[in-house]
Amino acid sequence: MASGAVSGAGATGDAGLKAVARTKVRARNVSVFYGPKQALFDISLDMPEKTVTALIGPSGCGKSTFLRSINRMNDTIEGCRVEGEIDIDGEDINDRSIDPVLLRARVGMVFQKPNPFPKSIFDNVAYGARIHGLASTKKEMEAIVESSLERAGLWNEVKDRLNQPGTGLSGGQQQRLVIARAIAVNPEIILMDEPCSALDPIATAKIEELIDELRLNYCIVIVTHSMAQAARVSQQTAFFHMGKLVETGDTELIFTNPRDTRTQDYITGRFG
Amino acid sequence: MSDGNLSYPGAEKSRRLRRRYREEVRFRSYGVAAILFAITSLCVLLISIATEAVSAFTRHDLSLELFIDPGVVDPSGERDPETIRANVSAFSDLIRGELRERFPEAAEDRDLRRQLARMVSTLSAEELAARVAQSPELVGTTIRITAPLADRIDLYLKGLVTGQSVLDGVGSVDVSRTSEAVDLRSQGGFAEAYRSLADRLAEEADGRKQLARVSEAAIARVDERFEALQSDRTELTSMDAGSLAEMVRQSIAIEGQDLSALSLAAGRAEASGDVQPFRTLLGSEFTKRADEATREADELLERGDAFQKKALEAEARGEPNAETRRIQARTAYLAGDRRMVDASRLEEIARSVPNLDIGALSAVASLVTSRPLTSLGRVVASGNEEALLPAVIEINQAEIVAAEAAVADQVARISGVEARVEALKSVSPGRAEALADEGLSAARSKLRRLERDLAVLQATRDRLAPPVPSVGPSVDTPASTPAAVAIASGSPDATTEPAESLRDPEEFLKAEAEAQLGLDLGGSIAAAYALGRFEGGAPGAEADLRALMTARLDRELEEVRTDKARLERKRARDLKAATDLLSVASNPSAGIVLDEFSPTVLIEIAGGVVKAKQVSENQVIGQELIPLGAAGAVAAGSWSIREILVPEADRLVTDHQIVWADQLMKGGDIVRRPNTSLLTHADSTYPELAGLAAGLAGSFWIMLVTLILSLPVGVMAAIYLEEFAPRNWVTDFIEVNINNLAAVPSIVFGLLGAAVFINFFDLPRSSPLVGGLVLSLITLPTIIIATRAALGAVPPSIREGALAVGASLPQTVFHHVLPLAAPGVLTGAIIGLARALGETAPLLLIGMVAFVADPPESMLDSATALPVLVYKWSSGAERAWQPMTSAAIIILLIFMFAMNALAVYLRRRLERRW
Repeated sequence: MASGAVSGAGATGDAGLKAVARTKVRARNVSVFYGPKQALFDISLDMPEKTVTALIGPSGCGKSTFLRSINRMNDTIEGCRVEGEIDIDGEDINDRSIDPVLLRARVGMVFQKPNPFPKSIFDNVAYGARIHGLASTKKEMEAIVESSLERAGLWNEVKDRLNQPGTGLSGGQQQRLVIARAIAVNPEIILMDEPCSALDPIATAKIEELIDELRLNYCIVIVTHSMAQAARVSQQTAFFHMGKLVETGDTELIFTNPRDTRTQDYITGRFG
Repeated sequence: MSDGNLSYPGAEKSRRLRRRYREEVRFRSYGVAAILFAITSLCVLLISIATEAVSAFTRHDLSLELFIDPGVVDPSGERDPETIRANVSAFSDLIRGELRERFPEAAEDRDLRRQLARMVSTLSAEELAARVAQSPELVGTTIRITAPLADRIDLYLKGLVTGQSVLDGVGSVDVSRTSEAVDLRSQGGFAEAYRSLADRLAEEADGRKQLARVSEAAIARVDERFEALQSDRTELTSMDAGSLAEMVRQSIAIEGQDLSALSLAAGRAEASGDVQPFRTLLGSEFTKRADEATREADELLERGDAFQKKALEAEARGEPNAETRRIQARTAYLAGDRRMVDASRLEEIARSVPNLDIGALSAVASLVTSRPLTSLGRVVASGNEEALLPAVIEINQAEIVAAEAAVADQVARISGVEARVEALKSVSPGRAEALADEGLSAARSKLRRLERDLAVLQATRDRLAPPVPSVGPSVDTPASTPAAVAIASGSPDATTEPAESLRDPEEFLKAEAEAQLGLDLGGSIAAAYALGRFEGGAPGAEADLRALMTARLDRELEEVRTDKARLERKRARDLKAATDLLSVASNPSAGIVLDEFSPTVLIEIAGGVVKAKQVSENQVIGQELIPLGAAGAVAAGSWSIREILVPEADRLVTDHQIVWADQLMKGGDIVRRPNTSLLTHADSTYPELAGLAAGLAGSFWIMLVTLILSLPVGVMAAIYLEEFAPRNWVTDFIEVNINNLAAVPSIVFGLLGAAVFINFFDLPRSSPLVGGLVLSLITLPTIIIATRAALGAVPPSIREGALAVGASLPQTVFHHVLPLAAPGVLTGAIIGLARALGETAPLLLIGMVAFVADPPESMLDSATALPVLVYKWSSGAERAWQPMTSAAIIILLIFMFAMNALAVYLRRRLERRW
């Protein structure tokens, strides 16, 4: 099997990390099809707790597809089919007994383009908590909103204008608002789909800082096109190419000593 | 590549540039032209409607200073408001008195007084009475009132009754008066008016000539027909028997079972002695009639049952129409029972037919044709005096046989009715009573009538009986023919009126010939009988047949001749009229005499108004409508002449009224005010009283029903299709069909509504509920399509964001997607409703075009709608409906624009929230 080497590499990476943290998300032989077209081929990857896993690779290689299978966002796409097994804490998320809605509350997601709801900043953050019934009083809700904004590093900037529309913030602020919205429902995992690609360098730096802080509490999986960003924020890196997982391992190792030539070519900017 | 393009030589480069600019200019001008065209059309449309409508939005009122004379309005002096209010005629007198004071010339003449009184609407006295009753202290004071003018005067002042052309007076005029008329003389001063009148006369003459030419063409056609008939008649005398029979057959066109076939069979039977075919035919005729009567009776009785049931239901519910239903039931039962009797009688005859001999059969047949079958052929053929009397006797005998048969039949029917009454007594005493009451008395009176007819015929027979010349010839009878002698010597008691008319056998024969020869049923019956006799080989039958056909042709020829004479008279009349008109028009010095069919010519001069009776270039003789001042010379320019184009006979406003109205207008006593009744009154058959209130209320209810039904259903359907439904062939099919539904002509929905809601579900016809249901069907597709478009326009990132924080699909839709789509949804809904507001055709089909005098108060009352009123008013015959129609259109458009503006406002408003 062509993927023999890949799985081997993956296993090595796992072994290296296991000492640090326990596996939070475990993907085994995941294949995703869009109708007749196969987009992912037999992906097996472990994403440990309190770790940032970066998914890198050229456009169209299936990073986002993989990311979206972790919180079953692919269900909303007509004709999309996921095979293989994805476990969170040993529980198969594609099992019939799993409610995708509750799953998504456990697995927060941040998108490429900031998408705050066209409501006030407060309501944006409070929405998830409200629909899941996390707060029974107004006070509790305010506490949730404040702590979420605090953790997203936005509290000081917006505390005086919580009633203003979230769409009125700057791009970086909006993205942090969306992150606050995601962590307000106490997720265990946060998925980030190129969260900084629409932001300027200063905002990017702030988000990266934030990711670094959030790592202490969450399992974070981030898709990024920026090698530098992957190197900066992640502890583990997985390189995707043409729907296949080419190589995975310690970020430092991947960037300093990639085993696969394709990885090396990509990292050094020879293609993609 | 691009470098290559840029390195063109200078001339080439600028040429390309110019071409590109030209193209841009061209496309821009196409766009501008299209927009200009659209805007122009819209403006033309709106302006034409608005200008027509303007006159309906205002109305003319007469403003008067009026002394409320206590002696007139409150002679008792009690100042009781009720008495004052009731005393409308006194206030009417006050207003008339005031008008008469202004126009004293009207006081003399009763007709003029009436014309003057009719200038104000009858409403005005009522309004004034109400006003004074409310504040009785006004009695004895002078107040200013505004009295609405009568609608015709109002229309005249708006220029909708007649056109006018005004000419300035040229040259000075000498005014002189005689006792009867006013004589105005001016050298050429009236030339222009004269010319205009003369032109009109010439035009009229042309019209008459045209009519004469039309008559001429008609005469030519009549001539052709005359010749054709004549040649037929000539051929007839030399025709051989076979083709004669063929001709008769064609002219009466015998078809299977009809009466001609019956009389044909009768003739054959009588001539040949073979009775069986006649019997069979007659038997089947009666069987058929009996069956028909039975079926009708069943239907009627069933209908009676239905009405009876409805009556009982209505009574149980305490509705007032129970009595009406009961009467309807009674009528239906009565008719049904009578028809039942008919059926049994007809069956009886059908059963008896096989046993009858030829004479009895003929008598029975006469019950069907209601005439004896006798052919007149023999009588007419013989043509000589000796044969006349026997022929008349023969016909008389046949008629007596027929009349006896009718009497016998009626007697049988009466006993049938009596039997039926007996039978019904146990089943339904009410019906038995009704039948005994009305059915029996009607049958008896018919019997009396038939007996009288028979008596008359018998009296005639007695007179026609071979002469018993014991009594001498009477004085007033020319004793030239035996028949005349016979009749003159008739029995003295035969004084009944019909018998009186039979003084002369020739007259009798003529009357009979009229009845049988007319190219109607009777004519073909007689002809068929004659044909049957001929075919049966009766002696002399061929001559009869020929004579009969000759008589028929003669009759037709006579008719054609009369036609031609009439047409010729008409042509002559038209030609003469044309000549007369032209001779008047071509003689300027003689003067044109004006009557009520000519345009009216009015001359304002010396403080008065003269209506011209005779106009020539230099002189007008006329009648004073408003008295002139002193006689004498009037300078050029200080008088004017005008022509009222519509003749007095063709308009509802008289010349006097025109002059008075103009005078009041000039004096500032007439004010133009907004016409509020347009909005407050319901529909009426009189344009001046009609208003849109019922239509507005109806449209309101309809819109309410439509909104309540179509908005939730449409939005829910759209949400399901857009957000929840799987994409497969079923949803594709639904989507295609929703689009198809939006394109279905609205009248189809009307048919559907009539069939389903009214006929099947039995909802009240012309109610807003049904209208709203039908219009919901029309708006639904629009709302669904608009809502889907709005939902589809919500960015997917919003959905993803909501799903990603763990919102379920319904939460995503109702918390995020739908609020964002709301402006689009509302816009779609309002535009759909605006379309429904303007729909007419489906409402016509569900009966909303019915006349509705009161605004509906619920959605089950009869109602009408704004666009339906527009449709109805636009087909109104009177001129005043045109401005009313346009006004209704304007109001409808205002509502539509308001709804569209609301849609725009809501969209802006809701969008600003995000």
